[in-house]
Amino acid sequence: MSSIKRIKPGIINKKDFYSPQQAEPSVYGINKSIKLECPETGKALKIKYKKIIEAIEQWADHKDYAIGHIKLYIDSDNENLWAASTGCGVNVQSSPLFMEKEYQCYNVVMTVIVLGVSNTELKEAIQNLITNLPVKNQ
Amino acid sequence: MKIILFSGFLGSGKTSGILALIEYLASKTGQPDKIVVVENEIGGAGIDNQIISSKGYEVKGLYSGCICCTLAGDFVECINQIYTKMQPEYILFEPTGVAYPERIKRIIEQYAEIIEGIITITVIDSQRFNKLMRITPDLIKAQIKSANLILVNKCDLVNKSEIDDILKEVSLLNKKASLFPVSIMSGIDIKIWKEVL
Repeated sequence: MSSIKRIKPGIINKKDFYSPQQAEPSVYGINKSIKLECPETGKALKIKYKKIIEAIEQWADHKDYAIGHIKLYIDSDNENLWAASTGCGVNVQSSPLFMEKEYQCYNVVMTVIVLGVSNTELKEAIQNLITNLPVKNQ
Repeated sequence: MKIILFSGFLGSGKTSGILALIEYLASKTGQPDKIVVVENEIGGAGIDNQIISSKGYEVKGLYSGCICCTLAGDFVECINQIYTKMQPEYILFEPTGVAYPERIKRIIEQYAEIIEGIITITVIDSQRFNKLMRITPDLIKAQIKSANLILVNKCDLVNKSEIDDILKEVSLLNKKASLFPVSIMSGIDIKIWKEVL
Protein backbone atom coordinates (compact mmCIF):
# COMPACT_ATOMS: atom_id res chain seq x y z
CA MET A 1 0.00 0.00 0.00
CA SER A 2 1.31 3.45 -0.79
CA SER A 3 1.17 6.24 1.73
CA ILE A 4 -1.40 9.00 1.25
CA LYS A 5 0.18 12.20 0.03
CA ARG A 6 -0.97 15.55 1.38
CA ILE A 7 -1.14 17.99 -1.51
CA LYS A 8 0.45 21.30 -0.55
CA PRO A 9 -0.75 24.52 -2.14
CA GLY A 10 1.59 26.01 -4.68
CA ILE A 11 3.35 24.40 -7.60
CA ILE A 12 1.95 21.02 -8.54
CA ASN A 13 4.39 18.85 -10.42
CA LYS A 14 3.04 15.80 -12.23
CA LYS A 15 6.18 13.89 -11.23
CA ASP A 16 5.10 14.16 -7.58
CA PHE A 17 1.85 12.34 -8.09
CA TYR A 18 2.57 9.11 -9.86
CA SER A 19 0.53 6.25 -8.53
CA PRO A 20 2.47 3.08 -7.66
CA GLN A 21 1.19 1.57 -10.91
CA GLN A 22 2.53 4.49 -12.94
CA ALA A 23 5.81 4.20 -11.06
CA GLU A 24 6.38 0.85 -12.79
CA PRO A 25 9.15 1.70 -15.23
CA SER A 26 8.81 1.34 -18.97
CA VAL A 27 11.81 -0.02 -20.81
CA TYR A 28 13.05 0.38 -24.35
CA GLY A 29 16.19 -1.36 -25.53
CA ILE A 30 18.34 -1.39 -28.64
CA ASN A 31 20.90 -4.09 -29.35
CA LYS A 32 22.33 -3.75 -32.85
CA SER A 33 25.37 -4.26 -35.00
CA ILE A 34 25.96 -1.13 -37.04
CA LYS A 35 27.84 -0.95 -40.33
CA LEU A 36 28.62 2.58 -41.49
CA GLU A 37 29.18 3.57 -45.11
CA CYS A 38 32.26 5.57 -44.06
CA PRO A 39 34.32 4.93 -40.93
CA GLU A 40 33.90 7.38 -38.07
CA THR A 41 36.19 8.17 -35.17
CA GLY A 42 35.26 7.20 -31.64
CA LYS A 43 35.07 10.88 -30.84
CA ALA A 44 32.45 11.41 -33.57
CA LEU A 45 30.44 8.42 -32.31
CA LYS A 46 30.60 9.80 -28.80
CA ILE A 47 29.19 13.14 -29.95
CA LYS A 48 26.38 11.50 -31.94
CA TYR A 49 25.26 9.16 -29.19
CA LYS A 50 25.55 11.84 -26.55
CA LYS A 51 23.14 13.89 -28.68
CA ILE A 52 20.69 10.97 -28.73
CA ILE A 53 20.81 10.70 -24.95
CA GLU A 54 20.40 14.45 -24.53
CA ALA A 55 17.42 14.37 -26.90
CA ILE A 56 15.81 11.66 -24.75
CA GLU A 57 16.53 13.68 -21.60
CA GLN A 58 14.87 16.75 -23.16
CA TRP A 59 11.86 14.74 -24.32
CA ALA A 60 11.34 13.24 -20.84
CA ASP A 61 11.75 16.63 -19.19
CA HIS A 62 9.31 18.26 -21.63
CA LYS A 63 6.74 15.53 -20.93
CA ASP A 64 7.33 15.62 -17.15
CA TYR A 65 8.41 11.98 -17.12
CA ALA A 66 11.11 10.78 -14.75
CA ILE A 67 14.15 9.04 -16.21
CA GLY A 68 15.14 5.87 -14.37
CA HIS A 69 18.32 5.67 -16.35
CA ILE A 70 19.64 5.77 -19.88
CA LYS A 71 22.63 3.54 -20.50
CA LEU A 72 24.63 3.05 -23.65
CA TYR A 73 27.48 0.71 -24.46
CA ILE A 74 29.40 0.66 -27.74
CA ASP A 75 32.14 -1.81 -28.49
CA SER A 76 34.33 -2.61 -31.45
CA ASP A 77 37.85 -3.82 -31.99
CA ASN A 78 38.45 -4.37 -28.24
CA GLU A 79 37.60 -0.75 -27.47
CA ASN A 80 34.44 0.46 -25.77
CA LEU A 81 32.44 3.49 -24.76
CA TRP A 82 29.97 3.67 -21.88
CA ALA A 83 27.49 6.52 -21.40
CA ALA A 84 24.86 6.95 -18.72
CA SER A 85 22.30 9.52 -17.67
CA THR A 86 19.66 9.92 -15.00
CA GLY A 87 18.37 13.10 -16.60
CA CYS A 88 20.94 15.37 -14.96
CA GLY A 89 23.55 15.33 -17.74
CA VAL A 90 25.40 12.60 -19.62
CA ASN A 91 28.36 10.84 -18.07
CA VAL A 92 30.67 9.30 -20.70
CA GLN A 93 33.64 7.00 -20.18
CA SER A 94 35.67 5.00 -22.65
CA SER A 95 38.60 2.67 -22.97
CA PRO A 96 41.91 4.52 -23.51
CA LEU A 97 42.09 4.26 -27.32
CA PHE A 98 38.39 4.40 -28.19
CA MET A 99 38.26 8.08 -29.14
CA GLU A 100 41.18 8.12 -31.56
CA LYS A 101 40.39 4.93 -33.49
CA GLU A 102 38.07 4.79 -36.52
CA TYR A 103 35.18 2.34 -36.76
CA GLN A 104 33.14 1.09 -39.68
CA CYS A 105 31.40 -1.66 -37.71
CA TYR A 106 30.44 -1.63 -34.08
CA ASN A 107 27.88 -3.02 -31.65
CA VAL A 108 25.60 -0.73 -29.71
CA VAL A 109 23.41 -1.59 -26.75
CA MET A 110 21.17 1.05 -25.25
CA THR A 111 18.58 0.74 -22.50
CA VAL A 112 16.18 3.54 -21.67
CA ILE A 113 14.08 3.24 -18.52
CA VAL A 114 11.47 5.91 -17.85
CA LEU A 115 8.80 6.21 -15.18
CA GLY A 116 5.36 7.62 -15.82
CA VAL A 117 5.10 6.64 -19.49
CA SER A 118 3.66 3.60 -21.26
CA ASN A 119 5.96 1.17 -23.08
CA THR A 120 4.24 2.05 -26.36
CA GLU A 121 4.73 5.79 -25.99
CA LEU A 122 8.34 5.31 -24.91
CA LYS A 123 9.09 3.10 -27.91
CA GLU A 124 7.50 5.52 -30.37
CA ALA A 125 9.27 8.51 -28.85
CA ILE A 126 12.73 6.92 -28.91
CA GLN A 127 12.28 5.63 -32.44
CA ASN A 128 11.28 9.12 -33.58
CA LEU A 129 14.25 10.69 -31.80
CA ILE A 130 16.81 8.40 -33.42
CA THR A 131 15.33 8.47 -36.92
CA ASN A 132 18.03 10.79 -38.23
CA LEU A 133 20.85 9.47 -36.10
CA PRO A 134 23.37 6.67 -36.75
CA VAL A 135 21.40 3.83 -35.19
CA LYS A 136 19.36 3.60 -38.40
CA ASN A 137 22.45 2.99 -40.55
CA GLN A 138 22.65 -0.75 -40.23
CA MET B 1 30.81 -18.11 -0.35
CA LYS B 2 29.58 -14.65 0.63
CA ILE B 3 27.03 -12.66 -1.31
CA ILE B 4 27.32 -8.89 -1.47
CA LEU B 5 24.05 -7.42 -2.63
CA PHE B 6 24.29 -3.98 -4.24
CA SER B 7 20.94 -2.29 -3.84
CA GLY B 8 19.86 1.16 -5.01
CA PHE B 9 17.57 2.88 -7.46
CA LEU B 10 18.25 3.05 -11.20
CA GLY B 11 21.23 5.25 -11.96
CA SER B 12 22.36 5.57 -8.34
CA GLY B 13 25.85 4.25 -9.06
CA LYS B 14 25.61 0.53 -8.27
CA THR B 15 27.74 -0.61 -11.20
CA SER B 16 30.44 1.95 -10.42
CA GLY B 17 30.30 0.80 -6.79
CA ILE B 18 30.75 -2.81 -7.84
CA LEU B 19 33.74 -1.87 -10.00
CA ALA B 20 35.30 -0.10 -7.01
CA LEU B 21 34.60 -2.97 -4.63
CA ILE B 22 35.75 -5.70 -7.00
CA GLU B 23 39.14 -4.02 -7.34
CA TYR B 24 39.44 -3.83 -3.56
CA LEU B 25 38.44 -7.48 -3.13
CA ALA B 26 40.75 -8.62 -5.93
CA SER B 27 43.72 -6.94 -4.24
CA LYS B 28 42.64 -8.12 -0.78
CA THR B 29 42.22 -11.77 -1.75
CA GLY B 30 44.87 -11.84 -4.47
CA GLN B 31 42.44 -14.06 -6.39
CA PRO B 32 40.31 -12.09 -8.86
CA ASP B 33 39.03 -15.37 -10.28
CA LYS B 34 37.36 -16.10 -6.94
CA ILE B 35 35.01 -13.16 -7.39
CA VAL B 36 31.95 -13.42 -9.62
CA VAL B 37 29.53 -10.64 -10.49
CA VAL B 38 25.88 -11.43 -11.20
CA GLU B 39 23.98 -8.71 -13.04
CA ASN B 40 20.20 -8.52 -13.25
CA GLU B 41 18.86 -5.96 -15.70
CA ILE B 42 15.30 -5.09 -16.64
CA GLY B 43 16.17 -4.62 -20.30
CA GLY B 44 16.54 -7.47 -22.75
CA ALA B 45 20.24 -6.81 -23.33
CA GLY B 46 22.92 -6.38 -20.71
CA ILE B 47 25.08 -3.29 -20.51
CA ASP B 48 26.52 -3.44 -16.99
CA ASN B 49 27.79 -6.98 -17.60
CA GLN B 50 29.75 -5.76 -20.64
CA ILE B 51 31.26 -2.89 -18.70
CA ILE B 52 32.42 -5.19 -15.90
CA SER B 53 33.60 -8.01 -18.14
CA SER B 54 35.58 -5.49 -20.22
CA LYS B 55 37.68 -5.01 -17.05
CA GLY B 56 38.47 -8.73 -17.07
CA TYR B 57 36.08 -9.97 -14.39
CA GLU B 58 33.70 -12.93 -14.51
CA VAL B 59 30.09 -11.82 -14.99
CA LYS B 60 26.81 -13.72 -15.27
CA GLY B 61 23.69 -12.00 -16.50
CA LEU B 62 19.96 -12.33 -15.89
CA TYR B 63 17.90 -10.15 -18.22
CA SER B 64 14.37 -9.06 -19.14
CA GLY B 65 12.98 -8.97 -15.65
CA CYS B 66 13.60 -8.51 -11.97
CA ILE B 67 14.78 -11.40 -9.80
CA CYS B 68 12.68 -10.33 -6.84
CA CYS B 69 9.59 -10.62 -9.08
CA THR B 70 9.81 -12.85 -12.15
CA LEU B 71 13.31 -14.32 -12.29
CA ALA B 72 13.68 -15.82 -8.79
CA GLY B 73 14.06 -19.36 -10.13
CA ASP B 74 16.67 -18.31 -12.68
CA PHE B 75 18.61 -16.52 -9.96
CA VAL B 76 18.70 -19.53 -7.65
CA GLU B 77 19.81 -21.74 -10.53
CA CYS B 78 22.49 -19.20 -11.44
CA ILE B 79 23.84 -19.11 -7.85
CA ASN B 80 23.91 -22.89 -7.64
CA GLN B 81 25.72 -23.19 -10.98
CA ILE B 82 28.31 -20.63 -9.93
CA TYR B 83 28.92 -22.49 -6.68
CA THR B 84 29.22 -25.87 -8.39
CA LYS B 85 31.51 -24.74 -11.20
CA MET B 86 33.61 -22.02 -9.57
CA GLN B 87 33.21 -22.03 -5.79
CA PRO B 88 34.04 -18.33 -5.56
CA GLU B 89 34.79 -16.53 -2.34
CA TYR B 90 32.46 -13.66 -3.21
CA ILE B 91 29.45 -13.14 -5.43
CA LEU B 92 28.71 -9.47 -6.02
CA PHE B 93 25.10 -9.24 -7.06
CA GLU B 94 23.58 -6.18 -8.72
CA PRO B 95 19.80 -6.43 -8.89
CA THR B 96 17.69 -4.04 -10.93
CA GLY B 97 17.16 -0.57 -9.53
CA VAL B 98 13.54 -1.39 -8.73
CA ALA B 99 14.28 -4.51 -6.67
CA TYR B 100 13.38 -4.91 -3.01
CA PRO B 101 16.50 -6.28 -1.27
CA GLU B 102 14.57 -8.10 1.46
CA ARG B 103 12.80 -10.21 -1.16
CA ILE B 104 16.15 -11.15 -2.67
CA LYS B 105 17.58 -12.00 0.75
CA ARG B 106 14.63 -14.31 1.40
CA ILE B 107 15.24 -16.08 -1.91
CA ILE B 108 18.93 -16.48 -1.13
CA GLU B 109 18.34 -17.65 2.45
CA GLN B 110 16.33 -20.61 1.18
CA TYR B 111 19.66 -21.87 -0.14
CA ALA B 112 21.70 -20.82 2.90
CA GLU B 113 23.66 -24.07 3.13
CA ILE B 114 26.10 -22.77 0.52
CA ILE B 115 26.04 -19.12 1.59
CA GLU B 116 28.20 -17.92 4.50
CA GLY B 117 26.54 -14.54 4.67
CA ILE B 118 24.74 -11.78 2.81
CA ILE B 119 25.90 -8.18 3.06
CA THR B 120 23.65 -5.49 1.62
CA ILE B 121 25.18 -2.27 0.35
CA THR B 122 22.68 0.38 -0.71
CA VAL B 123 23.73 3.20 -3.00
CA ILE B 124 21.69 6.40 -2.84
CA ASP B 125 21.63 9.00 -5.59
CA SER B 126 21.89 12.21 -3.58
CA GLN B 127 21.09 14.31 -6.67
CA ARG B 128 17.65 12.71 -6.98
CA PHE B 129 17.00 11.58 -3.39
CA ASN B 130 14.17 14.01 -2.62
CA LYS B 131 12.53 13.48 -6.01
CA LEU B 132 12.67 9.69 -5.71
CA MET B 133 11.31 9.82 -2.17
CA ARG B 134 8.26 11.55 -3.68
CA ILE B 135 7.90 9.30 -6.74
CA THR B 136 8.56 5.90 -5.19
CA PRO B 137 8.97 6.26 -1.40
CA ASP B 138 8.20 2.65 -0.48
CA LEU B 139 10.97 1.29 -2.70
CA ILE B 140 13.61 3.83 -1.64
CA LYS B 141 12.83 3.31 2.05
CA ALA B 142 12.94 -0.47 1.65
CA GLN B 143 16.35 -0.24 -0.03
CA ILE B 144 17.64 1.94 2.83
CA LYS B 145 16.16 -0.16 5.62
CA SER B 146 17.69 -3.42 4.44
CA ALA B 147 21.27 -2.13 4.17
CA ASN B 148 24.35 -2.94 6.25
CA LEU B 149 26.28 -0.17 4.51
CA ILE B 150 24.77 2.90 2.85
CA LEU B 151 26.71 5.01 0.36
CA VAL B 152 25.18 8.42 -0.28
CA ASN B 153 26.65 8.87 -3.73
CA LYS B 154 27.30 11.86 -6.00
CA CYS B 155 27.97 14.06 -2.97
CA ASP B 156 30.31 16.12 -5.15
CA LEU B 157 27.27 17.22 -7.19
CA VAL B 158 25.09 18.33 -4.28
CA ASN B 159 25.65 21.09 -1.71
CA LYS B 160 26.73 20.15 1.80
CA SER B 161 23.56 21.19 3.61
CA GLU B 162 21.50 19.01 1.28
CA ILE B 163 23.84 16.08 1.93
CA ASP B 164 23.51 16.67 5.68
CA ASP B 165 19.72 16.58 5.37
CA ILE B 166 19.87 13.33 3.37
CA LEU B 167 22.23 11.74 5.91
CA LYS B 168 19.87 12.72 8.72
CA GLU B 169 16.81 11.32 6.96
CA VAL B 170 18.58 8.10 5.96
CA SER B 171 19.97 7.52 9.45
CA LEU B 172 16.46 7.81 10.87
CA LEU B 173 15.28 5.08 8.51
CA ASN B 174 18.19 2.77 9.32
CA LYS B 175 20.06 3.36 12.57
CA LYS B 176 22.19 0.21 12.36
CA ALA B 177 23.84 0.66 8.96
CA SER B 178 27.18 2.36 8.44
CA LEU B 179 26.53 5.52 6.46
CA PHE B 180 28.98 7.45 4.28
CA PRO B 181 28.70 10.33 1.83
CA VAL B 182 30.81 9.42 -1.20
CA SER B 183 31.57 10.18 -4.79
CA ILE B 184 32.15 6.73 -6.23
CA MET B 185 33.51 8.18 -9.46
CA SER B 186 36.22 9.97 -7.47
CA GLY B 187 37.17 6.80 -5.58
CA ILE B 188 36.18 5.13 -2.32
CA ASP B 189 38.34 4.98 0.79
CA ILE B 190 39.03 1.31 1.56
CA LYS B 191 38.17 2.01 5.19
CA ILE B 192 34.55 2.13 4.03
CA TRP B 193 34.69 -1.37 2.59
CA LYS B 194 36.38 -2.59 5.77
CA GLU B 195 33.29 -1.51 7.71
CA VAL B 196 31.37 -4.48 6.36
CA LEU B 197 33.90 -6.91 4.87
